[in-house]
Amino acid sequence: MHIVNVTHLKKIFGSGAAQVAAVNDVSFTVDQGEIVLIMGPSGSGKTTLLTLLGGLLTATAGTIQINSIDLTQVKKQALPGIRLQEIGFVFQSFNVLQNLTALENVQIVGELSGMKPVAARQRATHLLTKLHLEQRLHYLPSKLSGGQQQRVAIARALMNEPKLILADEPTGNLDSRSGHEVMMLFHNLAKQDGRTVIIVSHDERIKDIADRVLWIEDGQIHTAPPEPEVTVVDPVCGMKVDAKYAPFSTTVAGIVYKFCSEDCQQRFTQLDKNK
Amino acid sequence: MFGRISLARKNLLHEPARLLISVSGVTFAIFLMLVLLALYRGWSETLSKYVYSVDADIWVMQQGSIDMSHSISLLPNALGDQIRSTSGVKTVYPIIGNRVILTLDGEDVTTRIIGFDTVSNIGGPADMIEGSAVPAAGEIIIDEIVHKDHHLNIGDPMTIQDKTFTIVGIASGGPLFQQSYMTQADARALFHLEDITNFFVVTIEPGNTIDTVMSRIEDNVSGVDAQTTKEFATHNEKEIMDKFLPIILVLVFIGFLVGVVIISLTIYTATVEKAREYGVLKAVGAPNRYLYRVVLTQSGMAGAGGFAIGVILTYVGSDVIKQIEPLFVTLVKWQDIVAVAGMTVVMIILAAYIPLRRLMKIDPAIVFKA
Repeated sequence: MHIVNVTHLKKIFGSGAAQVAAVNDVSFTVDQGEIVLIMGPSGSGKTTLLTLLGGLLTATAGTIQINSIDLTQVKKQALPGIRLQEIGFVFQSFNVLQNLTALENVQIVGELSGMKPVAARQRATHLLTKLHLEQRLHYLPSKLSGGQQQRVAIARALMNEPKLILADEPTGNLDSRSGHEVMMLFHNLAKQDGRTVIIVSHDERIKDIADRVLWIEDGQIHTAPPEPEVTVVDPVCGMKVDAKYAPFSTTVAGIVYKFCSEDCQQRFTQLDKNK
Repeated sequence: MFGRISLARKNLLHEPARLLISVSGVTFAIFLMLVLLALYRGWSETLSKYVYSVDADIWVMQQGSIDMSHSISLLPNALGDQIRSTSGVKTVYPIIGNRVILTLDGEDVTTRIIGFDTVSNIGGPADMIEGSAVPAAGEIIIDEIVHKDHHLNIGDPMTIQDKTFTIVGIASGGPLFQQSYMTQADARALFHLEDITNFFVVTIEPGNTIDTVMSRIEDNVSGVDAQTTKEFATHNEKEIMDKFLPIILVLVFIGFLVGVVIISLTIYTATVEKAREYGVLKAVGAPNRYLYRVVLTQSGMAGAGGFAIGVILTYVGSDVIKQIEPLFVTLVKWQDIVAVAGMTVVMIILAAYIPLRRLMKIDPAIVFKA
């Protein structure tokens, strides 16, 4: 069963000459209980894609279905309710509320969704206990380690039992041991509880728990990053560029030259004319 | 509707310095507004206190005269008998009331000298602080402000226009026109008004209405106007207070603005500092109305705290200041407290407006920025 179904998704920022397609005609599906890792270089569109999946950004074109709800069709006012019930968020910098205790940070999300305070408190206590934080229920975030804060954030994400967990660099601010603990938590959430987990990260270790890795570059999804042997050298600046995806190319005397930028291409053409 | 975790309360209590500044600012604003209104009330009451204290239904004065401060009323003594003979009139007493400028400790002091009938005691001091309320010939009752400002006490001599009187009593007076009291004979001699009276105060026979008797007096006695005690008291207040009221209202408005600005600034900075956390709440699905409620509650708590302390401070502070400065006559009325409470609610809502606008602009996608 597809929990996430993305078709021809496009997000364009700016207009005219300054127009940039941060996500460009992306389509993919993610099944229940699946862990998908989205990787790619900085500025490739990973976070934009995650923001779109979380209903925090409006798509330029295409559709995003989360648990059969098309986020691109619902009214803007309805999105907070969908996020509250259908999606759990986990962030790199934890983003727990600093003036609330661990318990209150989790409880408040239940209360927001209409749970009675007593019931929300019980469930929050249960979740934090499950994440081995039963001794830290009444601690403020400033008294918790990074790993503990991330577990509070995960408990918060699970409070309303969402089918989908979106995690942005969840191990980015953690030491090695805490990072592994968090990875195991995600693994259990998917494999034991049947939740779908989409993680955006640079952390290669997460590949070990991921069912699939999607590589995103220049706003487009690939099943794997370009192989090293298909890179060529820009004849002007000397940088390595992807032979297949290089944005600029010129053919001279039957030889195809690839360039990293339009500027290098123009300088090459000028040099060729001056010969 | 939502849970009982009060994020607003927790945020405020975790920033005690900010809370203190906010509440102190509102307290100051509330104190300023209430004290100004209380001063207005206090002065108004003091201005009419003497008129209300006189046991009379009707005040009769020279036609065209309206109050004791801004118009002169000179009536022949003989008119007293004409008034007394009017149907429905029970008693008639003359009152002499004129302002004089004294020189005390080299300083000019304005006081109103009241000459009253010491036998009936109609027109005597409204409130005595100490000493005799009924002066004999050559004696005077002075005002508490003159007593405090010029250190004049019972038994001391006091010279008015070359005539020396002995102080026998100290009366509670007014902030604008201090009053001194003496026998009518002494007052007439002082002002050379042997055949003239300033006002006649009248009581009516049972079975008559005040309006009817007033009409009869005005019909029967030429050259006079008659006013009920309430009308005369109101005119005495109005002449003065109409000039003060616009100033008081401007100052109250300034106090209101101070309150709005202080709450608004503190809540705005708190909102900006917590922008990321508000972004997190938006991202996880908190509806806007919940976030608005957090900001409004913060504003409300600062406003309510400041209001409560401001009211207490008004009562305590007014008494303390009155001990130091007798002119600081205040009267805190519940109607003014209710009005200021209403203004505090408006203050809270207005103060929350700018932080709410800031809150609306917070992009929940901020949460993905490391």
